[in-house]
Amino acid sequence: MRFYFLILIMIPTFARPVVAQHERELAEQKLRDLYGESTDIRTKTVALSDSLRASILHLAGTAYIATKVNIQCMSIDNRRMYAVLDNVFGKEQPITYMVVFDDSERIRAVEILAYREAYGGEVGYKSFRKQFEGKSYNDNLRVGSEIRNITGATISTNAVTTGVRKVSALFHVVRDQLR
Amino acid sequence: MPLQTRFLTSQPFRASGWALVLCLVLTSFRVNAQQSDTSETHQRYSLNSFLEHTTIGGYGEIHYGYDTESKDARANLSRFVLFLSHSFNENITFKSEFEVEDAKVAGGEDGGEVALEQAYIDFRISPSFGIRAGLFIPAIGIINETHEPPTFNGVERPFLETKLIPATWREIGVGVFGNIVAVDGLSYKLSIVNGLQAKGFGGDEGIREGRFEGRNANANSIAVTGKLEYVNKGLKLGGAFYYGGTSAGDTALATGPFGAPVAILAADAQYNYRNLYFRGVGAVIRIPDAGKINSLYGSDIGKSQMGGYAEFAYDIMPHICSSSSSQFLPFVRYESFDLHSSVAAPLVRNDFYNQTYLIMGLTYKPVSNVVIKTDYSLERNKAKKGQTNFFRFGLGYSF
Repeated sequence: MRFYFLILIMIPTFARPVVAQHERELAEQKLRDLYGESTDIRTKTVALSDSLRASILHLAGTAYIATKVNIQCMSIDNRRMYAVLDNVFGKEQPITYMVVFDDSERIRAVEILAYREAYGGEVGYKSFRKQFEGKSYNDNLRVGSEIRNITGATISTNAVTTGVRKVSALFHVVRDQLR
Repeated sequence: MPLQTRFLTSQPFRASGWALVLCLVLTSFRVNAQQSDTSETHQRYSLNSFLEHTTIGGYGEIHYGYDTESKDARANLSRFVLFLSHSFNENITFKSEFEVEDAKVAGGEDGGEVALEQAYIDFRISPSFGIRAGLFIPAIGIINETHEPPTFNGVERPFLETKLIPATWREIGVGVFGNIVAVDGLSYKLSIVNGLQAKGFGGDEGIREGRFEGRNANANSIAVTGKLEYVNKGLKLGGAFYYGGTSAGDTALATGPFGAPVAILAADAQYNYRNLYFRGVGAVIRIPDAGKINSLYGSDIGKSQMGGYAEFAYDIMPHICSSSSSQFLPFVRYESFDLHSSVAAPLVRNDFYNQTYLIMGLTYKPVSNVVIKTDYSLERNKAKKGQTNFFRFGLGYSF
């Protein structure tokens, strides 16, 4: 019965605040973790017309449904950087993720902000996310070509890869509106 | 009266009533859509709308087997499984797996099984810490946790993960799981489950029939089990242990929750590089009190059991049609294990339990969740008794 005590002792060591905050706060906190607490983040809302959404569908092969998108704009080391927050479906639950772009449309970071399923959480590992860095919408962001599959996490790897491809195309088509 | 006229005259109110309901439903959808479009953050609304929900999934497989020695062919709907899951909120999820084996269970006849394979609740407190409680599958080897037919090659599951590691092995318990933040790609699982029952052990099936599987389990014996897993791109490595008592309250065998223990160590590796896939599992089981168990229950369980398998598969589809998303994988798997790797006197090692399997086959996946399989297996044992070759054909799916 000593083992029960072992678990009770472990709880405070491992436990962290419950992930129940607003996704945008999570995203902004993650950006500050990445680029410094004093990073000035401004949110810009961009409208997505039918023709812009058609372009996203054409470029990414997957549709972006919302008619507007919030983009976090920052200036890091005198360079404009942008972050797009989005959700994709895993097997049963949404995966909340964020893609950071630089002003040449290259992906600087992919962050998993909330993962809610029992299996497939490997997409949160850095070794998986790093594969996207330096790539952009016109690279073949697909599992099996630019992105490697994780055994046992096929659904999540496909979901996140499709999501990043979609958001990269989105960023490409709204890029001019952010200048 | 013509049908059309009768409909119009006898049910005018009902027809217009339905039209009204349809109109209202459409209007309400329209209003909802507009609300979310004009909301400050569309993402947030769309997220909340699908957080609490119930989902249904499932998998199944149909097998055909032809024994070339006895010239006997069998066809069987081996498994039909339904998943039912519900998310109460972002952190609390219920998951279940309901299984019918061999299509039919009839009174007075052998075969067939209706069982709950899993039913547990996950409390995800943070990425590095969650609690799982209920009837769940300890993480040992590969197949135990991941056994949907499209995930493995070969019609039958690997023999080692049926006879040595008794997949699908589930027990009632409580455990913790999460990522080890300090090392990217590393995760842990640790749980306490009810123990096995030595009374069910035997030479031919090892510890398999000692499982309770959640059915009025005797919890006088308990077990601790855990796994560390490391993932880096195409590589996945796992190391698991299990240590638990087996007396299940039989004081003639042993006392205490860890009396007459079973100890298991298992390692697994999976690697994918381009079109090449490798997987392997190795496991060792030790039962120090095997002699006592055998004399008490008249059985022939080995004191130690061990074995391993290695499998290579290569996806040739990119060479046939590079734009296709389907997969076509020739594979070969070699398995070797001995359920009587060592025995306690006066039992003598039975060479029949020292078995090898060489399986060669083809796996075709038109889409990632549907699989058509065929294989040919050479099934051998050191005693050279009842050796045979099997031809198998199978169809499987998961969603």
